[in-house]
Amino acid sequence: MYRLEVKNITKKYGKLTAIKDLSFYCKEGETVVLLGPTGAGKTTTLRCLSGLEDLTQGEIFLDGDNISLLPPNKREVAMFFENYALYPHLTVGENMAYPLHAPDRKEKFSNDEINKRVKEVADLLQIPELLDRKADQLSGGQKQRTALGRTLVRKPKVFLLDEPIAHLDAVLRHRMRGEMKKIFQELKCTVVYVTHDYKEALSIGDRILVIRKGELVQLGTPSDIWSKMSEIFVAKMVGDPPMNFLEGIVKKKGDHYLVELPKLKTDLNFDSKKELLNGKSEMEVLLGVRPTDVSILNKETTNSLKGKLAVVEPISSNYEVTIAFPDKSTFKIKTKKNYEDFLDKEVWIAINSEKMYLFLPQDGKAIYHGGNF
Amino acid sequence: MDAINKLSIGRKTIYYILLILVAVYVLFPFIWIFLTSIKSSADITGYPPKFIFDATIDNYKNLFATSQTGAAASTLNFPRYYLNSLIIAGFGTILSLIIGCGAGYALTRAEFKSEASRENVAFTLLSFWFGPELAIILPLYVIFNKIGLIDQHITLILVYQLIGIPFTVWMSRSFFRDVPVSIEEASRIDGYTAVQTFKKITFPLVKSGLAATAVLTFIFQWNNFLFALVIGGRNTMPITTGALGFISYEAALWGQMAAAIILSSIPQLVLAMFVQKHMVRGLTFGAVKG
Repeated sequence: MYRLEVKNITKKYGKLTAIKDLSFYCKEGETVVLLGPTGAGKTTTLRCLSGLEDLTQGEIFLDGDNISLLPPNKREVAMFFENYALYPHLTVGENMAYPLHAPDRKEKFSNDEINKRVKEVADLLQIPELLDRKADQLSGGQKQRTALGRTLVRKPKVFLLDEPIAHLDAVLRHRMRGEMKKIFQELKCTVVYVTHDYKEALSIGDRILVIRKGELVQLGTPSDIWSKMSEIFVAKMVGDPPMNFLEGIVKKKGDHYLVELPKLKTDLNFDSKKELLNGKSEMEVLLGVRPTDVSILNKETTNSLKGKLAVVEPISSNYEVTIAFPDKSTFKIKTKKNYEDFLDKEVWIAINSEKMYLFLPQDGKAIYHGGNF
Repeated sequence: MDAINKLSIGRKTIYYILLILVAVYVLFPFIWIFLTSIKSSADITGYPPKFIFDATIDNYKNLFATSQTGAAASTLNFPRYYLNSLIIAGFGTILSLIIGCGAGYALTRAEFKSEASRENVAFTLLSFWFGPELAIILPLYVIFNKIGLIDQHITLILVYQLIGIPFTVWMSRSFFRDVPVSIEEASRIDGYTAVQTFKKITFPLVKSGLAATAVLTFIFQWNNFLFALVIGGRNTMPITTGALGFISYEAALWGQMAAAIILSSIPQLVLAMFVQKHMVRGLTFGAVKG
């Protein structure tokens, strides 16, 4: 039995379908991340889980009990709102104690117990000195911790977190990402975490559910999402700078395959254990290469592409290099080395066939994952 | 006032002179009425007007005297008018608040086909306020007369809802709109029902705004003249129409009339002072987001 099980849920607003036949489960102590672009239906999914939205179809089970029709106050879930949703007229301490005072809660808490729990959580989040401060007098980071504290204090069966660190500044975001992961692990929380940031998803999630327009695209571990993506949509979603794509044609040549890149007038050779062409002699593909998986050379080698080194952008300890191909298309590379001396000169990009991906241009499905199959 | 404190002394002086001029312009009628109310009859009608005179409280005493002097005063019953005003404006305000705030809340929270239709409903309700009272007063009189509701407190209370409800809907809506839906949702998930949430979260956040709304509604209903004149009668006459009785063919009791007006403005002044801070905020109709 899973802690949380979502079976074929659909949510429609009039003619608009926000979630379409979505199913997933969450084991006890597991963090499942919903990753997708704006408008993908991530927040709507959380709102359905919390009971704020009625389902059009499907069922939700919590520890085996069907909670699909229960109102939000009867579901044993806590939710973190993207805008924090703190009660402005209450202090930080009162905000955090608020769920424990709920009159209809099965478990009753004495005032001493409530104070003790609030104190514990405030210590955990390092905000004990803020307990008497009004919620509308807090900075963004303090509000974020208070809102997180309000969910933690209840010890609910499932935590629903909607973009919990999206509105913090970069430094704080980075720190909270680590801190939250630690807290979830220590308290063995079951978490459904919504984000549009792939780095957050990869670092926090035990499993990641990529959704697009309310539909499941891929469900897998962070490494699946990174290197065994199911479609081009997932490949574009994760990675910064994003993956490079080149149009090509796959052909079989002897016991190995090659991708012809007609615009660049080059062929790349690679091996595949899996049959790619299904009896056809050739097939149009999109070749995907991550900016980190190539090297820049000053002479031609096998599986290399010729181009001009157009731009070098120093970004923290890395450099982002833009290569311009003769057909005016560009290719981004992320490297540790400074190639400024090569500016405007001809270079060759060596592509590691173990780390290239092939997608079908028609539906974006991935057919080849380098050395991973 | 912070803005004024930052000005240079020269500008400050000009600013204060202008403020004093405005204050004199606005307050003069009120001060004149107050002076009239403490003058004797001879001083009131004397020409040129006297600013220095022997003050008297006879006018106030006469208002509450059981047998009043002068032919016109024989039928006047000031304490009764005062009580009528309190009953009608008081219950009228309570009714307006209950109905208007409920509608105001619904207008911010209920699902509408589109934002435009939500605004249309709200504006339609507000527009009842714009209609001239004269246009509806005669049909109302005929209707109430037919069903035998003329000269009853409940009639005026109901008619005053025409002034009260559109105003309370519009005002309360602006306050409810400032309460983010997400904090109500957070409270639902935190274990509270919709009613408990309203009590614990929404109401505490809007109560000062609603207090200002209540005071303004009370003042509008207290001040109403036309509805009271046509639909009110001997038993329900409020202070506004009652004060007219001091003028008759035989005599005009200016002093008593002034005293009645001063007394009748006391509740408004006291209430307005209590909620002055919220009133400015309320009158901007939610245009200023907190």
